[in-house]
Amino acid sequence: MARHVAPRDPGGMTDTPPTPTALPRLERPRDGRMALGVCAGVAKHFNLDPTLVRVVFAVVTFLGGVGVLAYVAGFLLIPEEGEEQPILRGGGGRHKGGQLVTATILIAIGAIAIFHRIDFSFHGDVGWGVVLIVVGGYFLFRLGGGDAPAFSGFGRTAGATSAPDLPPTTWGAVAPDASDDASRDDTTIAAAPGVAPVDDATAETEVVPPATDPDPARRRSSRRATVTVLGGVLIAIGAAVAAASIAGADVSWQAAGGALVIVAGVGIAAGSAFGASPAIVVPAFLAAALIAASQAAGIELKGGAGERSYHPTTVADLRGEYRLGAGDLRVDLRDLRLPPGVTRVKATLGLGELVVRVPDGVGVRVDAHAGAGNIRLFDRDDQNGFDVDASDARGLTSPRILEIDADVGLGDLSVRDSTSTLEPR
Amino acid sequence: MPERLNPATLAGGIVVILLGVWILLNDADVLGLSFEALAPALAAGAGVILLVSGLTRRE
Repeated sequence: MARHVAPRDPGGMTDTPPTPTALPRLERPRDGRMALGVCAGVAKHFNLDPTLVRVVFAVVTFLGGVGVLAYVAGFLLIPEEGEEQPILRGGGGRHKGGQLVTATILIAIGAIAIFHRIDFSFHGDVGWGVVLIVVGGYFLFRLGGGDAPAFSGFGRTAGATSAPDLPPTTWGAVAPDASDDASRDDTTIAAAPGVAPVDDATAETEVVPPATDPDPARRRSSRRATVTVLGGVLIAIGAAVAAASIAGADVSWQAAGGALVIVAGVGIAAGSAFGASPAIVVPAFLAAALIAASQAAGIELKGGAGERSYHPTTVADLRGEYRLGAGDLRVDLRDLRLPPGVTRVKATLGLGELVVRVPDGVGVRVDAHAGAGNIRLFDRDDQNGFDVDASDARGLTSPRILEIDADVGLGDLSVRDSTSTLEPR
Repeated sequence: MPERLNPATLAGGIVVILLGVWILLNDADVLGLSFEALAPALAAGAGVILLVSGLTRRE
């Protein structure tokens, strides 16, 4: 692909290019990165310590999850070192696939967040859902031919046009790529003195022929068909989830996550036909792996996050189930006055530490499970690993029996009584 | 085959779809999903994507 970075002088007049900023171009460097290079790029751009930027991202991630969104946005919007455009480039044809995939993922996440009320710890999933759908709709709107302003990368080469409908600039421009839309400026671009051509294959060429779209009608038709199919898929999923919600069906977050992953996969596969970069597979693959791993561990995200402590003293105060998505869940039953017979209590924690304290003088039967982690029942040795099951029973001759069903997806689970000497981990 | 088809992206999309199907099947108690099976499956999926990407670049 031949690209020249050269000033343009269509009318014989020479405009002075703007003075470059002192800050280096914001891009994701290939060296010195820990993951996708977002933090390293931001640090380099603002001349900061990369570790400091990473710490800030980590902190804001734990303060509501915004850091994750910011990192993903940075990955999509900040071009990689050596690349002219970010993955998520508006307007042009080369990255329509990436745009399509991103729009699909955003809308699907938003729809699921709204209809299923998944607790993403964003403290307001409906609001986030609306935001995601609006952003996703923006890209679909642009994909369908809307005239919303184009998304542009940060700190690109001066004057590089990101949207074909932008007027031609009179200074530095990137020569149109043959695969881009035909509506790009037809003005020939001459290499300026002192500006080295990017591609030596055309180093001797002073004039770049105008870009032409061999079949714009076919391109538009294909675009409409893709948008229609994906729109139909999204509407079908959204309608199904909404119908299940209205009907009161309990759609698990795993099922919603599986549907989301499939939608993302379909979007990626469809985007491949438009030349979408394989890089767009990375976040989808990681998200799918994360959902699958959490499902393998039996993590249930419903119930919120944080630290919860319960101390019921009467059966009336006792809940049938204590549930927490992530954090520390402590159920103190030591002062609970049990009625004769069997009293059942269930405690479910997705991620974190679960501690159940049982009263003295009653029979106790415990069934515990950890998807991945550690189980300690009374003073017995720890049991740890994947898919750990443990059970214990004591004092079952008592007329009052407490049955505990405890489950932790990933983390530590301990059941203690007053004789337990080992402190919870 | 579309002129601009990216085989690596297509392979990635298919792998992601298969993962999603597996998640749904597990949720429906049709096909179990455990760490013992997931780890090699993820490795295989990543391997397929990398293999296709590498073969594509060789052409």
